[in-house]
Amino acid sequence: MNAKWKRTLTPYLLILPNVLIYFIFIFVPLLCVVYLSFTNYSILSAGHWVGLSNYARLLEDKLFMGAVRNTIVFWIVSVLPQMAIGLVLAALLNSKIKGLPFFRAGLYLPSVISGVAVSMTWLYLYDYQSGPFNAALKALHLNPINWLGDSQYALMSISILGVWVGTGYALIVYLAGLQSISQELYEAASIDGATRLRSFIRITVPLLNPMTFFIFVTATIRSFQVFDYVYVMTKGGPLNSTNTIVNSIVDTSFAQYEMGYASALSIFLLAITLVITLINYRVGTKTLDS
Amino acid sequence: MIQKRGKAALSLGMAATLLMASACSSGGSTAGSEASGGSSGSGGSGKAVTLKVWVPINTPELDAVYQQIGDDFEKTHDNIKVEITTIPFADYFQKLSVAYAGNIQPDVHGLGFGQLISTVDQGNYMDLNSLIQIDNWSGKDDFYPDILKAGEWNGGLYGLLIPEIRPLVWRKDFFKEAGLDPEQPPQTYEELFEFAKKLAKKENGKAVRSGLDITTSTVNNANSEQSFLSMLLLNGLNLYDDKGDPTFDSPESIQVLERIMDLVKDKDIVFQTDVNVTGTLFQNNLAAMSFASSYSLAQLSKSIGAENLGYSLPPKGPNGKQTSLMLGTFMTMAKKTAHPQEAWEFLKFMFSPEELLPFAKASGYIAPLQSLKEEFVKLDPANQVVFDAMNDASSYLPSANWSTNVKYLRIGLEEAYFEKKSPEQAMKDAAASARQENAKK
Amino acid sequence: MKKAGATKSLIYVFLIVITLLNLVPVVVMIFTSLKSNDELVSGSFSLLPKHWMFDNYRQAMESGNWALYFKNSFVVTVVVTAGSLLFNTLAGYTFARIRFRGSTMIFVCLLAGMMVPAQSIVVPQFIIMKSIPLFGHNDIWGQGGTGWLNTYFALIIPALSGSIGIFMARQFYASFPKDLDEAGYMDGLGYLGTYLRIYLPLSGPLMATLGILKIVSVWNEFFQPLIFTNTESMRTIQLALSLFKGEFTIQYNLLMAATVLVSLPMLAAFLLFQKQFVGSVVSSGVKG
Repeated sequence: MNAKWKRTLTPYLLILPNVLIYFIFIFVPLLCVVYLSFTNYSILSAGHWVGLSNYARLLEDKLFMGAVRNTIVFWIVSVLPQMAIGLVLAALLNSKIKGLPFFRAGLYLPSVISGVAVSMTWLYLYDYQSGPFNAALKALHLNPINWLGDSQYALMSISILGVWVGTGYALIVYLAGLQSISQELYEAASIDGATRLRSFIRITVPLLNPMTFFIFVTATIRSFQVFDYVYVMTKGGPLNSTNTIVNSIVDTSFAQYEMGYASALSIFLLAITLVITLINYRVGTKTLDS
Repeated sequence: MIQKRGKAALSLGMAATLLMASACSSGGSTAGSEASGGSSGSGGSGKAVTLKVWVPINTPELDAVYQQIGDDFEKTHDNIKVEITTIPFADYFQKLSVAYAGNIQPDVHGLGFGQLISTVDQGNYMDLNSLIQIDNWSGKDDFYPDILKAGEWNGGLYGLLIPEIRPLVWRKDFFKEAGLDPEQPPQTYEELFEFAKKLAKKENGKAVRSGLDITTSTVNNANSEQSFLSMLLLNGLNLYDDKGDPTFDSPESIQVLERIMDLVKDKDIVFQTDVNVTGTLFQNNLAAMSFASSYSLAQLSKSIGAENLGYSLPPKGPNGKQTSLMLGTFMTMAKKTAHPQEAWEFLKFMFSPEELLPFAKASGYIAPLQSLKEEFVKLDPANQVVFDAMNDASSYLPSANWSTNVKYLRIGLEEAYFEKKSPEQAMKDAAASARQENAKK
Repeated sequence: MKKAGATKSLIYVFLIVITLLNLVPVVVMIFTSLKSNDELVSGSFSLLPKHWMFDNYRQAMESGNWALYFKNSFVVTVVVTAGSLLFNTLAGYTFARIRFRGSTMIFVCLLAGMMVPAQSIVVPQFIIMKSIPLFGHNDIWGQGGTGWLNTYFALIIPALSGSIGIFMARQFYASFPKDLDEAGYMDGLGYLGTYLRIYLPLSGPLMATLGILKIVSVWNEFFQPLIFTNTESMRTIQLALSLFKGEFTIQYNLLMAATVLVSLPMLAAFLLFQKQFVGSVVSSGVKG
């Protein structure tokens, strides 16, 4: 009985330090946000219960729905390339090449610089008049692009930056995954006469499933929270073409003083990302079990 | 076993509820009983009191200037210590509002113009009138009335303004280049547009210099509503009425926007989105005339030479109005401060001529006191204009709807300037959205 | 054989091109940090500085008490990284290898916490932080003082729990062969013993990856220190960096100089940790 109890209780004790801190500093505040989303709390004065009206308002809020659309575009355009490029690069780096430390550090470097500094550097790169990107275009006799100033291109430009920053992240997580795949599997495969590409697709990619799931979920969560770049580079413009969900939430909380409504927006964001994650979780566990 | 698990879940739930109750409830309740004020010690009784003072700054050098006030104050007030914290403008309100929500707001703090007038109705700030009356504070009469009025709401006075007055400023070198008399700014509204066309510079069918500094998009600390408001004020108009209802869609306001659109369509205006600059076009050598404060042009003045900048009152509007836009930073007291008397002493000290003069000199601000006018004019003859402008200055009206109205106005202006909509349509749509949202708050 | 050589060279060319392209923004940043003020305001862009202003670095570091800011960030980063690595991998192992009631539920709750931005939960967080009993002149009910605000606790404790860390550890351990647990069971090890004796030694790549992710995220954290600290004595490097940005003017060269210096320890940490990547480890851990 005693031993059995011990085995039942141990898992809980093992996660306790983490869960306790999380519970106090993240989860309880999160519950508060749920509560506040039913009030018209302004950050400077107490609000009162308004039921579901914040959620009703949210659905009719064209500005916010535009932000949702922009965020989804950013998500799709930035996350998939990050993962694809990260995977390919990780596989190449894992193939016993010389100069590995140089490549690895060079490819990961963008990810260690803070978002604000990165954004300010890219403001420079994207400069319409004299930025290096447009200088390159002009050298190729192409028309310069108003990267951030044209509502057609601004969101794409920010997505490119997203890919640049995020690829290093996918890269090192995939590398860690690749490192833990047993070489014996490859040896067995090469006896079968499988080509490298085929063994990569047949063996490596499925074995990396847990990492793919992890990268996809975290990259998704992060891209749904894209804020720094937008805040520094475009303030959501021009013509709201780069307004994102978190940009709206921050503006609503601290510039419009509507914390209650902003809480509803946050819960909406939580709901979207949770649904995407759970769908993936289902798919992910299925492939894991098989 | 099941019972035990139930108990565990129950106690967990209770802990969560308790924590939640404490975390959610103290948020911003205006009727909080105990005022901690973030300061230690009780007022009076000879014990040293520590005042917390927060101010937003828009350039790092201002930190030392504010610290100096604190040092000076401590020298003359034995029992009061002052802790001055300066915070960059971009992060300021987030920090301040969270401190208010947590009930540990500073005793004295700065506030942006829009921030004060849009939150004053929430009852967090101290009405200074009673303190002024008890003290019979002579400084009140020294203030320019229009500047003092800026902090008034519902009969109370909630902040003392360090103003940033925006009369007309022009580039003499650009005037010469365009063949205009560098000493003759436009005198009338018509002339303003005439000059704006002449002063604009184009290359390959695109504007490379604005005749008149109009902000077309709100990016990098240039706010499109401000240059528009300057133009409205010349016509005796404002963005919204005293009830906070948008008026920027009135026929008169739309007419103003249409006049600006003439310039835009004629390629006389550089678009903010075409140039990667921080601040307004004028601050970046990209405009010949602007409604701007001398304070915001310190850097420019240094780089091109003060002799190339001319200041005058704005040109007379169609009805003879010459109102200048006034923004700036308010100094405010928290209503719940544990040390109202000491906080008031500090405010008084800060706004005394002896302290304000060196402060204004060091920071580049202009002191809004009549007794200091001569001193400032001696310092720089151009200051004459700023002091004259203080006699007729106006700004946003106090209203909780300020933030919503400005938010949608910015969208509307951008849609008009980018010719996505006609000026009329853009303003009507923006006003309609603002009204709808104001009603839901 | 020839073909294999050609493929190899192609891979090299590809990697070199990609890596260099990837470094363009970093190079621009470094060159910007060496430009003079006059050149920056002149408006025309050239990659190389006209005058190499190495003095910018000295100026940037003399703009404040940078030794103190580095110390603050260093202390927070080291403690958080060490603590969270232990806590997160332990929890990740538990979620991955042990079946227990409510594990999925708890795990999803842990993930949910990442799904709202820090700005959304900052007010309740702030109030909890302020109400920690018996700290910062608080009474036993958490009233009267400032709790953990403006202390290292505020920057360290919440960061010790990391949903991403647990998640990653869980995914990493999930791909380990089942024989490992059986081996532990055979040796009479409990859960904790299995983790410490068998899983931990195999966690090199995980620790390296998680470590570098955590270091970077804590080192670059801006919002939490902004809200939870007040005084210069608690200022972190990211807060100090933000001070180069004025409302009307940005001191690009000094900002970039400081950014380069601030990023250097991250690069060093990466190089240090990446030794851990070397070698396939799991296969060596399983006998037979």
